[in-house]
Amino acid sequence: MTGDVLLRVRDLEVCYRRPGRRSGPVTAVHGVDLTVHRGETVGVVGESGSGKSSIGAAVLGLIRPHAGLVEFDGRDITHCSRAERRELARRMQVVFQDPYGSMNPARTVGDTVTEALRYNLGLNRHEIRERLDRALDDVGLPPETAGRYPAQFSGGQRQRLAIARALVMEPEFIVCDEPTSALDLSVQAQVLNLLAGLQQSRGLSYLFISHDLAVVRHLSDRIVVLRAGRVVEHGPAETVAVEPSHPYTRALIAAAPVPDPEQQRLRRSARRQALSKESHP
Amino acid sequence: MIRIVLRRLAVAIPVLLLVSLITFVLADLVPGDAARSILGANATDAQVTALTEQLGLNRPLPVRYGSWLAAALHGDLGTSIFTGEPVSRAMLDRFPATVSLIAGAVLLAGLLGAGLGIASALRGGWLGRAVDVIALLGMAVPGFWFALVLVTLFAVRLPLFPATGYTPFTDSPVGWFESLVLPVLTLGIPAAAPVAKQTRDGVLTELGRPYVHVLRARGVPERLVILKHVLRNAAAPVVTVLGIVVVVLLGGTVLAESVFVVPGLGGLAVSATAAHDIPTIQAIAVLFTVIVMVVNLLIEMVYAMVNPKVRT
Amino acid sequence: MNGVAARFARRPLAVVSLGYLLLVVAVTLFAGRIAPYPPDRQDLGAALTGPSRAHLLGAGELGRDVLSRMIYGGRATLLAVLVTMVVFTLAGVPAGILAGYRGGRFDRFVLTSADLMFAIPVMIVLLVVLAIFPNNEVAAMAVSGLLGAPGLARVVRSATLGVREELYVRAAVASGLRDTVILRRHVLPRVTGTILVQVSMFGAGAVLLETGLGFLGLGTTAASWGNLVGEASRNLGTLPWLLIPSGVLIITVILAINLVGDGLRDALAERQNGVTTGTRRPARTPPAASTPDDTPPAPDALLEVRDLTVTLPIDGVPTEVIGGVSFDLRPGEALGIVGESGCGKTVTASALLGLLPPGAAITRGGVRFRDTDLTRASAAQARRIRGGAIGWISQDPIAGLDPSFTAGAQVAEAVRLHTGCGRREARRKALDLLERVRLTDPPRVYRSYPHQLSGGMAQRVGIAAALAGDPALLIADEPTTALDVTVQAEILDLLRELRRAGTAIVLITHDWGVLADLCDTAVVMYAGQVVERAPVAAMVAAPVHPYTGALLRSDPHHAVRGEPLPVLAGAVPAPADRPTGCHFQNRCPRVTDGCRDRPIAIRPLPEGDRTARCARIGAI
Repeated sequence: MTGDVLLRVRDLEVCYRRPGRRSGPVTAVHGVDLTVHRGETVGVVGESGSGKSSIGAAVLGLIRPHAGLVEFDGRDITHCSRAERRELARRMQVVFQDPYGSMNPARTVGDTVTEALRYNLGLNRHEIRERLDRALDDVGLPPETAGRYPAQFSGGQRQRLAIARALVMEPEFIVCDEPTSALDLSVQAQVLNLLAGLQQSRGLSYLFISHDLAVVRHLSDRIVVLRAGRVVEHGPAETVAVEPSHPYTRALIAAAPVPDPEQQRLRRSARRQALSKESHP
Repeated sequence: MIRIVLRRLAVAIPVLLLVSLITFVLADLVPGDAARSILGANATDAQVTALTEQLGLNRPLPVRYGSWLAAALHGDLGTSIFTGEPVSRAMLDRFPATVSLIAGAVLLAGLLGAGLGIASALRGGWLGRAVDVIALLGMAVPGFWFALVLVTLFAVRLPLFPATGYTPFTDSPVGWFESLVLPVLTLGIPAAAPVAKQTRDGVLTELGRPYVHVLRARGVPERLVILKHVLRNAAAPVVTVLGIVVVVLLGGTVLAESVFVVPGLGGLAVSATAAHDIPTIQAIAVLFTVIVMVVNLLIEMVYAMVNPKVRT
Repeated sequence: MNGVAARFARRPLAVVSLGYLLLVVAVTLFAGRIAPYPPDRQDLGAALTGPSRAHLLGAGELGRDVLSRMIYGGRATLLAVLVTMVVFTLAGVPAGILAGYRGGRFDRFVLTSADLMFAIPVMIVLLVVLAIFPNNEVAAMAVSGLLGAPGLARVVRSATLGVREELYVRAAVASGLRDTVILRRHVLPRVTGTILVQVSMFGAGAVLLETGLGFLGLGTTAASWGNLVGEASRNLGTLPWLLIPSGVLIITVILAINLVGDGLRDALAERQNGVTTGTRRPARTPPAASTPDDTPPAPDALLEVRDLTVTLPIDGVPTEVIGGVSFDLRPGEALGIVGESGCGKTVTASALLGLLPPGAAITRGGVRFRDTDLTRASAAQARRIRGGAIGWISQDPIAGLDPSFTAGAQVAEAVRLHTGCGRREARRKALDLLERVRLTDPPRVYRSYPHQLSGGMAQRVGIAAALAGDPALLIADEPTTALDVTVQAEILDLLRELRRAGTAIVLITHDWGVLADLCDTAVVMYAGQVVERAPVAAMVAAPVHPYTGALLRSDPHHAVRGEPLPVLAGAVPAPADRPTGCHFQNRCPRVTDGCRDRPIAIRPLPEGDRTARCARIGAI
């Protein structure tokens, strides 16, 4: 089901200058490689400080990589201009983590969702309305939603709106940066299903960034595990999640508790053994 | 701590150079001839030329600035065009009065402001609204007008305090205190308003922070939660506000000293301005800048003591 | 902007102030037609007299009419203030927005110059200007605007910086929207409030400054408000009345400027937050209270929560946020309360300690710990138990510590409080506790401030402080939610170890895995009620309440790749919107009319040691 390479990140390096410190810049990402094929979901998993969000930001052009290459559909977009971004935005979109910050509270949600249509594509009113209604329908919200303000929506509904905002551009590729981390369990399931369904119906590709291996595993074809800015393991989702080869991935999986006391007890003792083996080799 | 002092000094030197240079350049733009304005309209051209020569006014600007700077570093800030007195001497004479005034006003503003702020944060209700009203009035009532009202009430109607003048501490401590009461009230009460507002906002913010809940859950008595933890954390921004208050007060002394005829630097600045006495006003500008920077340095040091994030 | 005007119009104080300012400006503009006399007309016979028919506000030196001079004086004063505000705004706003939005070198330049300007005594600089350009008030006021501009730039910069970090701005940037569009649509509207307040405050300050200069006789020589006060001060002994008209005028104008600024800011902020003041909820009647719960207590319970019901004021109406919550905890037992946000988990945990938010009230039921009723204990009694026999572990490890004290000092404080020992002894015990929570280098952690600790270390410090009073019970409110999963596992290991040592635990969590890892008993809460209580293994194997089942199934650990997750549609209703009858009725697949009629009682189940709140238990 997956086709040719859509996104290629090569040897990416991202540095941050810490404000007010005289110490040198901190490297958040060290030489990361990854590819996303057409129609595929690649999950990026890591804990805080792993650099996972920096990769997403570099792909989206929100930060300037220190070194390395970002290619989209064969074109180098590492340092592309705002005008090129505007062109690119028809094909690449984003859904962020925090459903409360992703909509301007002073504007109606319809206004925010169609912003890029009006200012970048210059569509007419009729075309905009058509695309808006279709996107809202796709995320399961009625068309009259458009006239309301973000404060009138729950977290899950806002995350649907954030997805609609990406969909109106009719992209092929969406960067999802922790799209369900701020949501409750039952709402998270709704949003995950929505993303999976849209992939089917619209043939989307995702770069899915999350700290939660269970979520990533459910949605991804392939998984990249990051630790302190480096890729420690990558491979097909089931392989990485079930038979990980890197000790860090194993530790990550072992650390996540499962909702069954008996099973969890077994995992716990297995984790203990692994830990003691590591400290007394 | 040493790093803070060094960093402040690194800022201080360019600022001083900048202030003195700006006043110097501005003075150079002064319409008319300084020598002629000293000698008066009846002076002969020869007299004017001689004085111009004597004052070095015919030399190019950078040279004059350089020699002024060199002299200033040796404590010689020039001679008043108006009185013929050395400027540094005049400033030294007037320094104690201004310092007494500002110290008193800062003390009053700090104590009154912090007290009102804490009380209104913990009690709320009418006290909170009172602080709001005081803060609003503190911004709206002109200091000089307030001073005149105080004089009318407590010196003219009820002769409790001297209306004007200043008694040096060394002459009579009681007289010194009495002569300061009205000017310090004038400067200190309006200055208490921003301190009170910041204190109240700070205490309320801190009370909402998670650690306060944790301390209560640990059984720490409320008195200790407030006095030891909340106030300490609310203090840092209050210190910053106090620093700004000092700078504003320096400007305020100009007006207060004029109303109360206090022989201080502010009064000197006004009379020098009225007499177009450029060397004097220039020297006062530099001195005030130095005072502000010393105050800022002290504030930053206090801030670092209060806030471990800056210190470590 | 229509919305802003309407919202502004709803603030009477601001509207009156604006009207007053407009009136003052209009009177000044039409001074020639309104003022009874020209400003310099002398009436020597009336010199220094109070109000009279000829001179409504009295006459000053040379018998000049006070009212007329006030009206004409507004020209000089208001012009000077206008100049100041324009210079201030034009110099400060673009610099601030550019610095905040672009950052980099220009940003550092703006910050540095703002720092420099704070070190310059403005009044003295103005005197320098006036010494050089005598009585050129407009020049002096323009300079004051220029000197203030870096301060404005700094404020605008930080507001802009805040907006730039907003996700909707990041999304707009990622979409390639032009900077001009982003600035106009997202940044400017957000910083306008800040700018208005700053400019109005500065304008008010400019009135003070201008009148001050006039008072000193250094400002304009024409009639001005400050000159009037100067005149009053010269004649204080003869006619103190002169202070009143000019003083009142100056004070009211400054007040009005400030109030208009505040009103505009509030109107903008309201619009910004999407709050609609006009359409307030109609007054509600409080929703029906829950039915009391009279399950008999366990005889050997350490903690006994019985029918706990708490109300909080929502829209001014006391609303039940948790109702009829009951459970027991035996010594050494670990009980987990699980549910989604808005179900009342945290309120329950706070109520166990008697630390409810202001306005909250326990309307029914209570909490008994050993022999003390915690909801009715005296303040001193409650304090001894809090942190003593009951320890609390917070949700946010770093923010849960006071940033001004070292980690060690905070643990030692708790030790002294609950053991009454001396400083030296407290320090030793605190170090022991840090060792006990498995911190690798206790002396170093003791000396560290909270911002120097990682989340995991901070949580261990928090646990150490909670252990200071040697508690029989620990209440942990989402203790690992803010932590990475590997750190979470370590903290859970630590809590399990404490449990083995005999400490009972109440764990609040939204994570089934965490619950399964630590607890024997699970209590599921939904919309303020306990809907099911059972041993964890039994509940996970066979959930009885439909909500429990749905919540368990939506956990991605159970997910099958390529298949959609089983979904529970809808969301938890807010406390004010909870339906009569079963709270879960609107999301329940098995709902019947019987579920909607009356509140559902919690009932014991036949298999023992389990209870559930569902009318259809028998039918399932």
